[in-house]
Amino acid sequence: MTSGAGTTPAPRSGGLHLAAAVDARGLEVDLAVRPGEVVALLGPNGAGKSTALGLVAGLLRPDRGRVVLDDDVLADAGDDGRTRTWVAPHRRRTALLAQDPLLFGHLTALDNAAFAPRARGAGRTAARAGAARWLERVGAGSLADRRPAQLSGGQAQRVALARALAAEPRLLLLDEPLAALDVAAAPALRQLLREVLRADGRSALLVTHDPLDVLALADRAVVVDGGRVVEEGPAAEVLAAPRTPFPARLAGLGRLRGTAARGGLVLPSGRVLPGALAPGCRQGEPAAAAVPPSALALAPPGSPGDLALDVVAVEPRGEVVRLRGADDGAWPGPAVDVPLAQAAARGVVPGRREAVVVTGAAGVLVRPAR
Amino acid sequence: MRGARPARPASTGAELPRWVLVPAAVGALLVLLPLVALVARVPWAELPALLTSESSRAALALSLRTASAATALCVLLGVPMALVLARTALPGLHVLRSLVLLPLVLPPVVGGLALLYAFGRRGLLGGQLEALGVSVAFTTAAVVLAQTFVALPFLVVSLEGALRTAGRRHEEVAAVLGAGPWTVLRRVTLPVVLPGLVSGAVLSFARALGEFGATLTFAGSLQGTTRTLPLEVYLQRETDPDAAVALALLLVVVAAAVVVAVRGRPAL
Repeated sequence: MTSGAGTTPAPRSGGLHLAAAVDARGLEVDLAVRPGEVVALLGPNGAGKSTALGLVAGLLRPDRGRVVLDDDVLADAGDDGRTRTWVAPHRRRTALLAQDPLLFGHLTALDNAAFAPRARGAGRTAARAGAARWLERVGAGSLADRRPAQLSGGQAQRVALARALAAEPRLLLLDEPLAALDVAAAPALRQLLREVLRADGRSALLVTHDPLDVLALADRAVVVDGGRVVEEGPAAEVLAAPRTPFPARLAGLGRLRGTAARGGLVLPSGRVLPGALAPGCRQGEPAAAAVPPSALALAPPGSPGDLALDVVAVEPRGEVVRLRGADDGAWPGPAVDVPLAQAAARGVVPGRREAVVVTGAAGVLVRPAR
Repeated sequence: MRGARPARPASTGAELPRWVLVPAAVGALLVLLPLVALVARVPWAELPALLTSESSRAALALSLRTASAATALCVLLGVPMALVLARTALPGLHVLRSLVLLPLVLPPVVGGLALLYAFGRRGLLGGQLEALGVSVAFTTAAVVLAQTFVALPFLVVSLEGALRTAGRRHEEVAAVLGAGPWTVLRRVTLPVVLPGLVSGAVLSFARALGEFGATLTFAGSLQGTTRTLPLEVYLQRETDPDAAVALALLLVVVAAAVVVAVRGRPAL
């Protein structure tokens, strides 16, 4: 949130600067998207992710703060909510691709893709020619004459992407673009998004609940919780060594507690989980690390193991059964994958305490824990 | 429950008490019997002559002209009203919505009287209109005005429902894609709600075509000028029942066509 009396000067670095509050949604965020950067916006349902997109698109007015895109002030409500600047959505040069393709049902795929150029005053022929190129680009060239009702979910989302790109947006707003697609269609569209975003050096703000989307598409991740930005960093780093519970849960990591030491995290058993200490984490102090289930295994019967896991859930996952430990406050507890045969032989049920040993996870990041 | 018969929703389970069928059948008969009686009275042999008599043709032409004009007026005024009702948050909207619905429940005679006191020679605006050299009451324009008054709610209610069902998400996407308010309205909102608009217009046309009370009160019954089909039917009922029945049949056919055209639409 910007502070000080009245209007603060706009940052002069291009890209998106969103520092605004919407009181009715309990949102007060401060985030940036640099030119050519893809930022994943993560957070639990109701955290304010879509509200943030709405602020950028111009579908919502901020109660305070400002929205700046490529040095243009799109919205400025100052610190007192008195709107000083308001640019209508259609003059912002952004484009929105949501979970639902929201194609215009009365237009063909081609005319859907030609919508934005037409709306900006291009002639029908020129707009259609450009639209046809975008449909080709997203692999929907053969669908040009179809109506949205004749398209599958994946095809419709391709056409919606072509429609968004044809608007030549300065910033692409992606609101869970793959969430509604079936498992067969999602990977192809993810790959397409990756190509389109990377090849053309586009700026995008991507809301997603899928860690694969974050890793494949985003440069940076911003975590919003309770209407505030609680964590941000390089996408891979946020998912591998999360500072806050939400990305840990998203990445399937569980929290292990222990004591910080030179070589990593000392578990209650004395075993050291190898890793590096995060800045501000001092040896000998309580600490924690987030580890994937693949780093843990059940201890041999009779052995005390490195830690005890109170099983709260048993989830079959193909060849393994995942035993989930109890949450540690807001953090997900550790989980361990047990081969089916072993699970069947031992009998795994929620409510039992299992001994677990550390088998892998080289290089976790050890953070201070209070 | 996988049998040869396609499963119907709610086919079994909670069954209705059987006696409900009796009053339901009586109700259906109440609607059907008069229509059957009317059709039975139609002098089929003389039908072409009756329908093409001078007074019949005059009434028919006038009815088609005025009902079409009233429908156009309903669309012109009703579309903006429905848009305001469905898409804005102006204060007092619920009052406006109730006002729009009023002609739907108001006795048409009362509507005609109200129109007379508004636009008649001694009415609220009568003086101003007269100064402009315009006299509305007892003219064809009065017929159109009366029909619009009673038919407008059908269009507004139908279209407002369609607008609410359609939601705003397509409009928002269009705006973000660079479409200004007028482009969004023209290229997204109206095409999306077109079925609702058409069914509203058809209902308005039917209501305008059948208008009787307000027309008689506000516009009178002058052949070729204000005597529409329903008025002609009422007039002929005494003097030439066969002609009345023939014209009534025409109105039944139009009404049936409207029901078929609108059936299956969610509006109203």
